[in-house]
Amino acid sequence: MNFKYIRTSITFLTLLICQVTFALEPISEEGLAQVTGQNGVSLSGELSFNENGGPLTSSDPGNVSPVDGTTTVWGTCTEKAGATAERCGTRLAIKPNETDGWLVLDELTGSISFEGLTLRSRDINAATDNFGGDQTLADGKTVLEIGLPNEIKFDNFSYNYVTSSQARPTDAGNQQQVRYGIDFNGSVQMQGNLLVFPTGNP
Amino acid sequence: MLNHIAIIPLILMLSVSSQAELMDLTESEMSELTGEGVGLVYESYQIEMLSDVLTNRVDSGPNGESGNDFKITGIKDSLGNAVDVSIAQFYFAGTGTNLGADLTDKVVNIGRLNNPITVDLVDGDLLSGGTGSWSESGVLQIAMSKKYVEDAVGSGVHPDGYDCTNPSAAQGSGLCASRPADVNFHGERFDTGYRINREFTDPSKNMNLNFHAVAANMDGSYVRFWGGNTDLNGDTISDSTIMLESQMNFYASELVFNSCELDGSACGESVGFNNFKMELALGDAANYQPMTIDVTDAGLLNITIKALPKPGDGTIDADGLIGSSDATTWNWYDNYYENGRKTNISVSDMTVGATSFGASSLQGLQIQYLEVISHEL
Repeated sequence: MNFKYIRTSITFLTLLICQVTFALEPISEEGLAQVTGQNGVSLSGELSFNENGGPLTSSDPGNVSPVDGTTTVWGTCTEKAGATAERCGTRLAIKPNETDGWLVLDELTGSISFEGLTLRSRDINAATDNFGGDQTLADGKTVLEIGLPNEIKFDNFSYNYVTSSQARPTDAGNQQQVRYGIDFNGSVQMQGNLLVFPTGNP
Repeated sequence: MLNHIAIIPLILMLSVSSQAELMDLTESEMSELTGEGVGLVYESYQIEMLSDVLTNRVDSGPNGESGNDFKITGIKDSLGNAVDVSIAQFYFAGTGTNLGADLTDKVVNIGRLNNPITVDLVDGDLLSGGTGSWSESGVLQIAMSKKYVEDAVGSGVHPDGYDCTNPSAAQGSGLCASRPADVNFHGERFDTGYRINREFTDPSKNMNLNFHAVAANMDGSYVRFWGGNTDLNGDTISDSTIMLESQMNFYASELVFNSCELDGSACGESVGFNNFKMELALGDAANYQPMTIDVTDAGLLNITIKALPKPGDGTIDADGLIGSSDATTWNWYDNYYENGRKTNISVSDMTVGATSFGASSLQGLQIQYLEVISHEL
């Protein structure tokens, strides 16, 4: 019985909340003048790609090379370093048409981190901004300002760009060619903003 | 049961209040709406990648941070040994960097507020009057700032345009929208370059190659993507595929190539190209010559610009005159050679060290068929 009372109370409480929602009213000019807002956010982040190899493990069924039927294709990066697996990391395959092949980012591993990426809305100001005179026509235009991070850090970030006849290296008949790869360690310095806005009349 | 009774009115109330917010737009309100793309402007931008191998730079720039190592992999020499290729420096900054040596306060705007980089979905029928490979297709277009159209045919200038390669060009001197730097504004022209080191198993073969572009811009460049059907693999059956058309413009006051020691010291003589202009036209959708990218069943990359189609059964006479040829066919080819997309490349002077080789240019190149296939070595 107690539960019933509780349920009934919740029901009325919910209805009450709904009524409160309907009580939204416009804020007066005076009230608005008191409101201040921080119209931006600052973001830090790290993107890490399959540092330990990915969801497939070397013991998964079907994880063998179609060429010899025995070599383990996917494993952890430790297994790859120990030559007990052919590869580790993310594989992103894109088919540009309905014929045979795939454009692939293969064995994508490592991480990219950044600090101080900012997002805010900004009004172009003809008096204070300097776009070589273009700010006059764009005065008052609101844009999304993405403040680029001062440093982007690559930590063992690597991938191979390959062209492949199959989506997966475990698929029968797979042949692929490595076009190039990268292996980045270190920091890239950057400064500036990226302004984003709808095109049309400024 | 009571749970359900409580939830149902709540849902109904939310539904009612939500529905009240959705209203039909009137005809006049609809007429105010436009489907526009996204504009992008890089403001006061600079980026630099610097390896710690540059510990003995002869210029005034800083050395790379300890541990910075940016390798390009997958390259082998003729004996099959891996070649260690690394980026010692990559930079993209405002002008006045002294070939990447001094990036302090050298920032650049890319795109203008009234002529930005754009990402847009455009109607293929509007790009070439309802004909061509992209007819009845939506076309994704990514474009740099547009160039101005000359104010009179052959004048080569527009009142608001700037000469594309002169680093101190005045307004009204050309057709580029990107402006050179002046005392009040850092402008929209950039310095960019890279230093690449190649280290072989035999260290005596190690080499460095540097490339620098001074006061450059890419106005008028674009790439367009759309979906279409064409035979890609020669089986006479149409294949659905991504198609492309690209215009790659690159203008620079100066291009410089040279080679130094791996640490940046003891550079040799430079090869320079002054007033470099490249307008590379790849694909010509209006004339049914899109560019396609395919991967063969052996995993090889195949890039093709489709062959120029025959306009019909009509022929052109050996004398090449319209009077003795099929007029429709003759006019079709005349229009293609007159208005088809063309590649132009020119330099006002090529120098090696202190020696000048004078001007060179390649004008009006049209690609009637191109097929590039990679091969395994």
